[in-house]
Amino acid sequence: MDEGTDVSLTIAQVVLRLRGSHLHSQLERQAKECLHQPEIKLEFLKEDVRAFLKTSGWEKKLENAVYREMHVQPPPSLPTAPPEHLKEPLAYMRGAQASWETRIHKSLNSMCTELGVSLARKRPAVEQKELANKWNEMGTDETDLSRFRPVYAPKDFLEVLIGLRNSNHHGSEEVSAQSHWGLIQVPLNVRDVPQMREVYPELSLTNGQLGIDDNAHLHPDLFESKHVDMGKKVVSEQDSAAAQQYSRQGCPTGLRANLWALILNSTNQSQDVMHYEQLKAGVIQYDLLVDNLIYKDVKLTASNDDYYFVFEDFLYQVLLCFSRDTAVLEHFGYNSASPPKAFIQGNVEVEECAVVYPPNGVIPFHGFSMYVAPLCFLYNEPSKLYSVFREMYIRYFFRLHSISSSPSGIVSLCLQFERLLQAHLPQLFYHLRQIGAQPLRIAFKWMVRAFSGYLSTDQLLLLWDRVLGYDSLEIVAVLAAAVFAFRAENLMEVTSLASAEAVLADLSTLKVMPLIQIFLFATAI
Amino acid sequence: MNGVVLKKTQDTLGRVLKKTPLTEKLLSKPPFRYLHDILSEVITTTGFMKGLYGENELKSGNVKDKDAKITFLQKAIDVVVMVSGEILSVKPSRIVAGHEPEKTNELLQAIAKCCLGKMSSEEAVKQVLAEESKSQLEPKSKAGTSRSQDKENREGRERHSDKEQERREKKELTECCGNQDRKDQKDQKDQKDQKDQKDQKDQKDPVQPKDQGQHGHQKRSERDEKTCVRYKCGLLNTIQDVLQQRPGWVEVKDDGEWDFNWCDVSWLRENFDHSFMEEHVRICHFRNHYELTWKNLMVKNLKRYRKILEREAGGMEASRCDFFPRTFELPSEYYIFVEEFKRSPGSTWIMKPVARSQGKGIFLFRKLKDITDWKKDGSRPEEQKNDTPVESYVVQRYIENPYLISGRKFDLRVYVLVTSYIPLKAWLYRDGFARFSNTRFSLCSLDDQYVHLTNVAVQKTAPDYDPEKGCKWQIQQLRRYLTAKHGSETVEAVFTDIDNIFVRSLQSVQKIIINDKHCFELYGYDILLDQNLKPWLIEVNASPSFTASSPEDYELKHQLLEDTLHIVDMEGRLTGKEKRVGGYDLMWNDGPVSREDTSLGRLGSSCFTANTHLGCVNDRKKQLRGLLKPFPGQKKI
Repeated sequence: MDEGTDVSLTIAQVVLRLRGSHLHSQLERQAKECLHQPEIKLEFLKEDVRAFLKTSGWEKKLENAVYREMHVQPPPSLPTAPPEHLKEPLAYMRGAQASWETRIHKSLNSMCTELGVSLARKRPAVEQKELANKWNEMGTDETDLSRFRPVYAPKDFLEVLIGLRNSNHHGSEEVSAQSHWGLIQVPLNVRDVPQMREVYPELSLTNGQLGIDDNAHLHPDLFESKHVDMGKKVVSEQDSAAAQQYSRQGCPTGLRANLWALILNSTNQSQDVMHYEQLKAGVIQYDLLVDNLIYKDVKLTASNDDYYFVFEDFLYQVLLCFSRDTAVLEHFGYNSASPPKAFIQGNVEVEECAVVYPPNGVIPFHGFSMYVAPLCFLYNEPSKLYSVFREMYIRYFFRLHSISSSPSGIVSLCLQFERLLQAHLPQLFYHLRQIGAQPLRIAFKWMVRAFSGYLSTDQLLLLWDRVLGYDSLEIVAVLAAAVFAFRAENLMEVTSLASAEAVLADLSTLKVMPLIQIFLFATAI
Repeated sequence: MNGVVLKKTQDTLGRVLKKTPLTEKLLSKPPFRYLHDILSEVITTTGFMKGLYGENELKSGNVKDKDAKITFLQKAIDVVVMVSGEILSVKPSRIVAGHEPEKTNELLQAIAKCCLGKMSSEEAVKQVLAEESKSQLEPKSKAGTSRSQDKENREGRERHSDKEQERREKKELTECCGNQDRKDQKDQKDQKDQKDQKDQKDQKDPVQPKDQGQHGHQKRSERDEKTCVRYKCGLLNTIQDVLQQRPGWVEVKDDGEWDFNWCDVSWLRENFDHSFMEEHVRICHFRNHYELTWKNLMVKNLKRYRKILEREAGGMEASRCDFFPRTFELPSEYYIFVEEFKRSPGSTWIMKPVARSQGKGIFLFRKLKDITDWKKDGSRPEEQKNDTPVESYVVQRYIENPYLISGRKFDLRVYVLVTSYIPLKAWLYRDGFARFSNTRFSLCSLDDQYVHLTNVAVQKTAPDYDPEKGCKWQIQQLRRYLTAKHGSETVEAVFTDIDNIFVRSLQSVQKIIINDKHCFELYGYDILLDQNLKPWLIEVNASPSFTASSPEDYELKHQLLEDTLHIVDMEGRLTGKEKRVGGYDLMWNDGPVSREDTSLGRLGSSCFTANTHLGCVNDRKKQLRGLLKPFPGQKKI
């Protein structure tokens, strides 16, 4: 297939997706309205309307929308590929994901039966009113959650990943210098450091970095103020692509909220607010079993965090709405996971009575709320916070808990982490392996949460700047390896998994950018 | 041979010996003759181990054969072990054979420690001599002696150890903190720093035991006078730890003379006027500190200051003082208050007792009836009615639109240190915290005082208070949060406004506070932000709570107090021209202080940047290392 058809295929797909969108109708209305303006001449109608849309900023909006579509859903390389290949091309991955889902659903169902709660119920009017009244202070509610337990924790998920095998690939069981010493035993292509240097040129030692070059001891005029000025310009241009490129060197604290929204094209328009209000109404009307899981998770994680505890209420406001958002279902088109189905009472196994449960198709696990918590730092209107989170989720976070071969998927990240560590610190890897402290057993929980809750907030946001900037979670695996490298000396002295965990228990003092930069660019290869 | 060990010997023993040279070459392979010289000089100059050796033994020519040398050294070791309580693993036979130079150095260090600590060796010498004469009677002596000496040692150690045990524990505690610091340091990938720090600690050790000796010595020598600070401390919390851990500082109990007094305000009231204070003495409150720290007087002073400004500098300048809510003193201003109350119907007011702190006795009201009830006063206990007529209260317009983060109200606690009122010299600490109310803010639940008061002291009694959480953010976190929401320009303006509050409030009492060069004061400012990001001064505390609610909190307060002591500078390590000491930045020095480093880069522009860094990075360790001369007797590396 030549490039020409490739491009036209993409165009056709994007056009298809944007047609009928809100933006489409807005553009049409703008075009119609501008006809009344004197500078639009009938003889040059097409050019004039175009010029108008350009100067009034609508062209930029369209560009950003197209840019988003290109990111969210890459077109299939073969037009004839079946839809499940778009979800996940490798059959054994699809199979593993399917059986993992079955396990989760069973666990959820057995909890239902055990506790005698239904998956969903309509709230009586009194309860609805009560909930509406305390929408802003749901955290003060002291319901008994002791009976509920998280459906699964990252640890359980790791066991599944360790068990992954490609039936077409025979790996030898013996340990040799060539073999992979880690826990992940599937053949996926991950980058080595020289390749990474090519992909992450902006992080090289000669480039200014927020998170390094904004240090108080350097003169503020050197890099930071120039970078801040540039950032302001990017924001005023309202250009998603520029914002994304900019973010690779870090976003200044004061501009980050705007820049991220721009990269994600979440420009909180009135329809976003409306959408959020609808979801909120849904929460108030119906009580779902997953709500309890969300409450429980927030209480267990964010509320106990020294920093995020403040945001408890925001987290409920976002996560409860998220669970009702059927727009999230769209991402299952390219996610290896599939939304679970529930059957309306009495109609078991009748396809027509099947509904997706929860409505967004995502079952929260232990630590899920930490995907939202850092965003509370940036946005204080719930609707804005919500739309940014949803976009982050359907672009990145879903990949951290579904089994796929995507380079940003958790399997690749794990493998990437292990390969980097084995290649650069073989002694350390070998030592840890010998004492029964497989590095991945420690690093997995960091990666599943993209380090949220482990790093200090400012550092976490600097890391996520790069995730957005490179449109990839790969950097998360690099950081995990860099953390091991940084504490290697102490790790070489430990003699058990517990003491290795202790050495790596507190990451809150780490500075992420120097670690990543040193690991990628200042290590001999 | 480890250079660090050598250096330590040179540093410690070097302060005892004048004649015998302590060269690296000699110390790294000390011949017996050399050790003999050292011991002889120690005995003659300090009197330590006096009487241990006979005339004969003191002439090195007489101690020739191996056994004599071993006996000679063994005696010294025994005495040192008994006196210092240290466990020395060095063997005389190995020393004589020229082995174990490190352990020999340890012995020398221990000797130096005993001398510097002015420890008495009298008892120990007697015992060793007694053992010696006994062993001379018994032929199979050597092994027996050392064993029985071991026992003696242990006993001796136990006798010595009460004080020491305590001290050790404390040292361990410091070291724990130190370790944590070190871990942080390490994370800043500064391995070298880490090593430096460790070395510094090693250096510090020999100084500490000096404290111990002083209890026994009534008469303090000239030299001691300079190196040790006698302190008195009336509080039992973080400050106690900080004072105890400071090298060369000794606690004075009861009525002993002191050089430094961290007292509470009641002590001040009772004793200040009767005490004569020498030039170098320092105390942690100004005589009439209440002019600023009592809520009624603070407002009175601010109102007066505002009037003066209005007359002398105009309304613009005076309006810079409008950072305190409308406030009246009760009962004296009751009628003015009622008028004001009626002018603004529906508003909420807050009542606070003037001289109580930590949120005690505070309530909110919206109806005048609530306060007339209070005026009639059913709530006050009987005995109070008799002696003081009515406890003074201030009634203050309640700030009804506080800035909320995720629906929660918070206030800021910031620390300001004043070392002089005339001229006014004030320092602002970089760290501080935002205290969140545990419940959500709304004006509907007026009775729920937990919502409205962000004092940690009040919060602690809330039923669902979780001490683990502490409900606090570091002020750095808050500053970042606000920057993320409002941009850096806005936030800089907010912090400039907050600086203004500190300076104006101090100026309002500048001429009223009795300036006294013996006094300094560490104020805890409580600031509230409203929705428009305008900062309001709620109150100033003279005795801010130094009781820590969490490990981070402890660390913050510990560092704050340490830096306070650095500035008060009993040890004379500063030049007096510093603009920054640890976490403190000089905010006002008889006029605003500018941040020189930025003005350098922007020459020509007339804009003034104040030297304040509230909520900025606090890299105090690094700064202090560069700034401070080492503690007296402690060598800088």
